[in-house]
Amino acid sequence: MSPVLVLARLYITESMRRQLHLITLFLAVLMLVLPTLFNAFGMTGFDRVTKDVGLTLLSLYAVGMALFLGSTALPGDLEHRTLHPLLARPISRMQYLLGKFLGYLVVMGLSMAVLGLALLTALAVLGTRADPAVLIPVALSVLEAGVLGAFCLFASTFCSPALAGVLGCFLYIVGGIPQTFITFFLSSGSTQVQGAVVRAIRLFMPHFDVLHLKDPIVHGEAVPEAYLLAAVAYGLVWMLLFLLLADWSFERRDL
Amino acid sequence: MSNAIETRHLRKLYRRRREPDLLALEDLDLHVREGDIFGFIGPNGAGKSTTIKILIGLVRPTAGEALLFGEPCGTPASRRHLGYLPETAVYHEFMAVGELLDVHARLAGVAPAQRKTRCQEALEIVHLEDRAQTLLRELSKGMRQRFGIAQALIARPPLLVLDEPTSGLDPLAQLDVKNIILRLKGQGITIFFSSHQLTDVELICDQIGILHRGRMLRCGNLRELLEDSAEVEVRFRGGPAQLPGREVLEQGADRVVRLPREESDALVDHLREAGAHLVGLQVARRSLEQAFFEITRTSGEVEER
Ligand SMILES: Nc1ncnc2c1ncn2[C@@H]1O[C@H](COP(=O)(O)OP(=O)(O)OP(=O)(O)O)[C@@H](O)[C@H]1O
Ligand SMILES: [Mg+2]
Repeated sequence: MSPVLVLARLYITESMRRQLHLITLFLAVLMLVLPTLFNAFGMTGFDRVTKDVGLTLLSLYAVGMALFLGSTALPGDLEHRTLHPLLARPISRMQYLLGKFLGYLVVMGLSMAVLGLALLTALAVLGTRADPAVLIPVALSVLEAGVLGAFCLFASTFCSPALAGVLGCFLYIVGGIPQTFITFFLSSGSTQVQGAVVRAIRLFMPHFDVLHLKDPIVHGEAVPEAYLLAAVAYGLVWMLLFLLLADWSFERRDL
Repeated sequence: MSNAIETRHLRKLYRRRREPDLLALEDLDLHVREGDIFGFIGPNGAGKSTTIKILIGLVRPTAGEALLFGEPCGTPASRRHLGYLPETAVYHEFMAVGELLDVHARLAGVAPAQRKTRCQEALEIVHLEDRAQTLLRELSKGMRQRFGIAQALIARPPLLVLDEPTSGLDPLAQLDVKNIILRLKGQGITIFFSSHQLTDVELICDQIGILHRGRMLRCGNLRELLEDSAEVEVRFRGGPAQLPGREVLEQGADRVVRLPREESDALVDHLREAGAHLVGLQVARRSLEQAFFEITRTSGEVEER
């Protein structure tokens, strides 16, 4: 087995045994299923609300976990020095980072799969036809968690976990402002300088709004396949870029 | 014989945020021959762990070069023939001893068919064989240290780098570690270790390096380190119980005086005149501990001046 896979498996085993993940997952499932209990009155359109709220919850879960896990994974290893014996093995620091990150992606992917199934179950209980399209935003949330987690990992190579989390938050909020807002802002009375600043900041940030497909899905609109592919590629490129930056910064550090 | 470890003009400057930069190593030349046991001693903060971390690739040197079996340190290739025991490692606390050892075996590239026996073997060496299922968080400090030794041995590496292997161990376990080291040397393994247990270092090392404030003050075998003592010990019976300007030690029926070699003739004459019976005269052999104190102390004075 390649070192990356060995390290990924180590990460997965550990995070399962720490149970933090399992507990948050359990709570999230609970929150997804709870709304179905309130449908006792047979409100019309309630399934759409459940879909909307459920997908929002899933996305929040992914973002929260990405911020937390991404920014604490490496500092935790450094603080406890668990990485010293591992890095004394014939592996590169890049392989170490990739192993950790792969483990993180798998854990996130599995959690989101569980949550996605819980959401589908909740919808089924409400009597709607199971629509697998709701899984599209779920999958994109995993990708989003990948991008954000990779950024936090990068930030945590040069600053404290708390600061890395804050930076991640900033990136997510500013990077996630829908492009339509930006266009609107720029066209309505902003000065040239303001416009340039906004464009410059956004240039160096992933536009998370590209990955936000909750609204069209909730309203039953079809998303073109070409757009989906492009969005996935876009997310993957940013994720890779942050991982490369993380390695570049981590390589130079004294441990 | 070729060198397992070699450093040339190694220098490390730690950049610090709140304080001025710290020169942790300066112009360090190390040559550790294959098959030797090298003891690395020095006061707290001397730079021993820094040196070791540079060898492992955990810390990047500011200048100079370091090689393991001819491979530049810091590359995965240089770590292929290496077992390392960190100074204060905590291991993944939610993993069981056997599991984590297996992870190390995989990372070290131990062939799948051999993994199980190697893990078993390493655990037996450190007497943890009945703890394979225990989680690391449930081990005592000394057991964790022994786990650390086991993971260092897992791939039967030709070079072991151990940062204070006996720290935190009970006297029996310390003896164990000493015996393990000697046994491994018998198998031709090179061992480089840092320690504050000078008596152990004295007993088992082929070569000893004394590091102080980032500089190697002395390096050589025990004889070379101890013999440049310029003192002799004069042992006598009867005669004066006190001598002006000298300390007279009572050892049983004998009295013992230590003094510089060139003053021994005068003292012997004086004692004979005073009616003392001369029992013996020998070069005062220092223990490594005494040599360590003297060498580091004189160097401290030199630097303060
Ligand atoms: N990461 C770091 N950043 C800044 N300074 C450091 C760092 N690591 C070590 N130092 C400094 O480098 C010097 C050498 O430290 P080192 O840990 O190598 O000493 P040592 O000989 O192993 O001591 P000990 O016997 O206490 O283990 C010390 O003054 C220490 O404060
Ligand atoms: Mg040390």
